[in-house]
Amino acid sequence: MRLNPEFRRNLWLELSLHRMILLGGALAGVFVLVGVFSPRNVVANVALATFVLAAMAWGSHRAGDSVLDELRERTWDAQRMSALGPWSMTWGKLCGATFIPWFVGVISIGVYLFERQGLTILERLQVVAAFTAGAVLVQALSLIGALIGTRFDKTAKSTLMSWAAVGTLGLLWSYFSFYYRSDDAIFWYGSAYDRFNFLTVSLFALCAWVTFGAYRLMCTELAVATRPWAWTAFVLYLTIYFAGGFIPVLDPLSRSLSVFAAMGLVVSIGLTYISAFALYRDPLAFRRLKHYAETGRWHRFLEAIPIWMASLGAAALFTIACVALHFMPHYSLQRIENVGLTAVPIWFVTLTILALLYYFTYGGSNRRVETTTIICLVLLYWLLPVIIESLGLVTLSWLFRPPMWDRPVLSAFIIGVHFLVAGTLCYRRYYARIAPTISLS
Amino acid sequence: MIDVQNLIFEYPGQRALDDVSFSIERDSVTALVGPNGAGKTTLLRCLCGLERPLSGSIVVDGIDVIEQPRRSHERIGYLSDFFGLYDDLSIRQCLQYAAEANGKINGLNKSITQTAEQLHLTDRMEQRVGELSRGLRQRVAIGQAMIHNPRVLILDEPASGLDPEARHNLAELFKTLQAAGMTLLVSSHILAELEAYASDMLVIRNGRILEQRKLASHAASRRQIVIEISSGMAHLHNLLDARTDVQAICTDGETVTCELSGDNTTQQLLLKYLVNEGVAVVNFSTVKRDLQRSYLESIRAISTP
Repeated sequence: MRLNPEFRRNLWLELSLHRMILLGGALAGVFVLVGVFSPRNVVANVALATFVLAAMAWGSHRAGDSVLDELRERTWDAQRMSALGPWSMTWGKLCGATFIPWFVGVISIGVYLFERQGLTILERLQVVAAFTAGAVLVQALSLIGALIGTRFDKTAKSTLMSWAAVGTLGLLWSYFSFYYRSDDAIFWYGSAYDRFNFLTVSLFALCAWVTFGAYRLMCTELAVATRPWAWTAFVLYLTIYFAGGFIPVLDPLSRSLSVFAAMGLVVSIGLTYISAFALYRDPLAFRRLKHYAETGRWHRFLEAIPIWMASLGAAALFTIACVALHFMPHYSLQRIENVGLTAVPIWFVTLTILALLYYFTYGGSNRRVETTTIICLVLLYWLLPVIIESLGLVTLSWLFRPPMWDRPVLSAFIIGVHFLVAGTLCYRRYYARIAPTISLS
Repeated sequence: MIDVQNLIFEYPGQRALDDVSFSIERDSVTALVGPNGAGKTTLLRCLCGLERPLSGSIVVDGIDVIEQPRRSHERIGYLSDFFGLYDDLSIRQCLQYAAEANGKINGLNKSITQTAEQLHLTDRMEQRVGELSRGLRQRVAIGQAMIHNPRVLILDEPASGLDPEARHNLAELFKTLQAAGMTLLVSSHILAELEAYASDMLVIRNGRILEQRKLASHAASRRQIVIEISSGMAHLHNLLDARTDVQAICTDGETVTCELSGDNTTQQLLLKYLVNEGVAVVNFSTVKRDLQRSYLESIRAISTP
């Protein structure tokens, strides 16, 4: 059996006997020193902290660098042209570049298993499993960040990586703190689950999704055509996952459907924002789509669809579901999941924000498009209405921030006008700057 | 071997390749020439499947690059204008990685040895790439691009920054590869370097192909003739115009430059014909039609209304 060439190349770069001996010796020294002066549980905690530092912090840095180094050394094109498949490339980088951090991590986790007191061996293994999944998760996220960064300039790349690291750490902090906060069971679709086990399984599932996400991005980089079904599937997965927490029992059906619709709307719109803001926005995407539609090349059309369009489409379906449920009998606006007609202005807000984002994307400079859009949104939807409200002109402030929950129809109309204005600006800039005057033959 | 039809590639607000069409014959060495920003690198990247054009088709060795970029990579070797080498690996490791990553599993060691021999790298195999000179680095990069025996080798500015000796060696290598059945497409804006090995020239400017032609030195059937006379220019013109084997007639004072289709005998017969017709020939000679001249002529021909 032949070793994955990408994995082996990373081993050539990472692995050396003196490095392994040096690291092993240093770790042994630290653990022995702590063991001499402290109780065994302190050694176990130091080992766990070492694992976090090595496998999570250092490992995620190395996973990201496995792609960024290719860009720095200008070897990325050669890799893109190789015969290696996207999965071989993904795991080759993910496992190869992080080999030394995992070496340190495995030693640390071994020490933890041996030294941890007061927990059964099964409980210790559960902790190890959770931390291992967490490490794989951050490493895969870091790889995703780096793959996204290949489409941006160097400054944007480092900024993106910093944000990805901060976001990941925040996510993990809240997640792991949640582990130890309570021993209560978790209710999911009416069944009680052990909190620790439930969250560990969730973490493993998320880890699998993120690794799959890295694989899909690698497909794009290696010119393997993909269609946005995976992103749509992720929207559905998160909808089903989070909805379970709000449905104590499956009856009545109308309430379950309301929860699904509301959760689906929140998830799909959230993922639309994430994908539209974080991923590379090809200024020529709409031109390509138009060309493929005109020439009837629908398979190309599907491949060229930006993934935010897939989640926006899902959001449209969930909006329709929310509106339809509003007209069902026994519908109560008192319940939080009953978004009802408010789903329409929420969807229009998303459209408006996307139109603004693309308006700035089509501008002369590609730098800081996301920041400019966010500043513009804060001005329009927060600062301006607050100033107008402070002048006592509450009704006038509705022109910028309409009461979506109290007057959804009026809000839909106002936000609809916002979208028309933003859409027109975006369209005009697109034709002025992007679409060439020469028509396609 | 390479067939490109109606290729269009756009950057925002700018068409980098505008309806580009051309074909390249098997076993040829084509020089892709043009000024900076003409679209050479974009074209090469499209041919390699590294960029997706808006429309058009690219077929390399029977494989549609746009539809099946991954499959086409097995047939194409690409050397970018920066070499793209792993400085911390040895030459052997670089070649082994390139071979394995390109699916070369059978006869791996033999391929590595052969490539190293072809590139005169055999005695340096354990040396780190980061320690090599530019010329040697370039050889390793070419080795990486060709180790999987691609049918087409695409090279973007391969000789930039090389000393004259390294350039000469490069030209010799390209000739060897061509003789071994590889089709080469080489871009450069230093025309002198392409002279030594190119058999065809493809001129690109402002994203459009201006001209594709066989180079005189490689086209045995065409030669450039300079005829200097003492008088009777109009008569000479009439005589040359009447001949089907004479083309591209240019006049400069008492000198006429033209292209003659044929061999030495045809050339001798043309001279005899002119003398017999009473043309006062002072000088009658062939001119080595170099790449620089061909390129400038193409540009001039397009610029002239």
